[in-house]
Amino acid sequence: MTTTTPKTPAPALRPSPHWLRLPRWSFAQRRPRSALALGLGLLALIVLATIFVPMLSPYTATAISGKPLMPPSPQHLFGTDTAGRDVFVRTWLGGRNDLMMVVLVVLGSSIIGTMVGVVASMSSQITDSVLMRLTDALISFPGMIIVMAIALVFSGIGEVGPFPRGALPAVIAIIAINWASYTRLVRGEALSLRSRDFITAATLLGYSKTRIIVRHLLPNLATTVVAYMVVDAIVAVVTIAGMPFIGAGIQPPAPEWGSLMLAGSTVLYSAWWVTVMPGLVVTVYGIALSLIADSLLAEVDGGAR
Amino acid sequence: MSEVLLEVVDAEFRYARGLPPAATGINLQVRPGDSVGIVGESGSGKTTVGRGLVGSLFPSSGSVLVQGRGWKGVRRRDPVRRIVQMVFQDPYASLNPMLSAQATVAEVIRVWDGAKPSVAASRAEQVLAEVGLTGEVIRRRPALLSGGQRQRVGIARALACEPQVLVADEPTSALDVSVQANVLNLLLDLKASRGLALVLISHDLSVVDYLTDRALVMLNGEVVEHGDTHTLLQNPSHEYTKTLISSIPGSSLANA
Repeated sequence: MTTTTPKTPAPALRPSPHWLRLPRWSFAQRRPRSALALGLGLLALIVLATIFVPMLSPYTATAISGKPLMPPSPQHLFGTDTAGRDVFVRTWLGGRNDLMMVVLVVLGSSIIGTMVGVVASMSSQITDSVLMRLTDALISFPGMIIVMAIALVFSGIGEVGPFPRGALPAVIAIIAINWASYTRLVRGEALSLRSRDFITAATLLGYSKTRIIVRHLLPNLATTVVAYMVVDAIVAVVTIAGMPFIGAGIQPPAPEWGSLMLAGSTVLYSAWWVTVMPGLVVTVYGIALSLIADSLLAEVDGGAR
Repeated sequence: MSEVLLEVVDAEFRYARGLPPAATGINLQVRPGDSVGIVGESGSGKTTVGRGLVGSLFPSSGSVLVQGRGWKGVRRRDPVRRIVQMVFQDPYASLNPMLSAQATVAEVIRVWDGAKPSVAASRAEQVLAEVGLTGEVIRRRPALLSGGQRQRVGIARALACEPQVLVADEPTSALDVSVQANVLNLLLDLKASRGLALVLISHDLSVVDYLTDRALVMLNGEVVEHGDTHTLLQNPSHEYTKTLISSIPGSSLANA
């Protein structure tokens, strides 16, 4: 018996949810590979800068290195802040703190959210209802209020390893509300996957629930979850950067993008660089992750068509 | 007479309480080597009966017995599961997109026989060779396989369980005409070489005529006619069967 050679690659993955789909005119939709390369390149630059700038700079983030509010110059590329500290080194050290927190938030939220979502999708109707109502409650409640409350509860946690004071309470607080969005996403996707014949086949073949989840559900959920994690990394940095505005998050004098911008807001018109320079870095970070997320989604949608 | 492998006794199937039955009054016996066709138009209830046969839908009344045991209470790893396996209609949805053909089949062998990964992989290779897939093609994921190849992987996955009854739900309806004959011949070959009993669910009377000895014709969830396939198609007694036969364009059956 002979085998036939494949004619055209057939669809491997289902399209991403409609709310994650890209407009056809977008750069990432038309040139996903270029968008991915550009996004990864920008992100790599930011990550490298957060690692090496604080190490190689002649200035430290907390020491006074010049006169207050000096404009950008070759000595101080991003100028100095109200206390005369170098904004360049503070921006990148602040970025390091932010990115470490983002990694924890995104990993923690995705792991918890995915586990709860998969369990809900595979459980009895009662368990599913209980878990999803809890999820709905978390999603519908104003996030920042819960974040503030939880961050306050855990405010006793001091400096832990590379994390400055205030970082871990903020991470715990954000994870505590953020996992719910992953659960919503994962449960919907898992329910849709469960109706497919390969899951029915696995059930008829007597596979255990654990095997069905680990070998059949999770690998097929991965693309969607990873794409959402990249999107979430943008939201997480905005949330983390917003926390100093409500008195939570990393405590001074440790730098952090949000606290840097907040500190500069009082002198915005006379010393714009204190706010604008960290803001520009945050913007480039957001653009880099958007390009990565969009190109991943474009690949998923393209593969499914 | 040989033992009954699969028996349906006056079974009725509903998808939810309060809904009308999707199939009712179903009676069927399958013995080793039998080939039974279930034929009818879309919505006639034939796939529902197929789901009932493999235990993914329990009868709301009556019974479905596998070697005398009902599906209810059969645990995941109960050996009775090995007896009846299914080949699905849609080869695109019936395979895990993340697993290669070999991994798909090897998994069944690992689960049921507790074989080591290397042993399972080598036995999977043999099963895949039995359905005509050899060489590097077995290391491909479904996205890089043609429709016919995927359906062969689906058949190999069912065979890896060493079933005695294969329930094939429209196994060729999603395939190109050129590939359909290959898959049907493969099923015939396997039936002969393994002594399998075959339950073929199809809307295509010519496929049922080619592959089965007995047939049930279903309409609106009920069996309206049953008997020897050839006789049934040559001398239909029910109006619906006559309509089905006359609707086959250019078929010798239509002119019977």
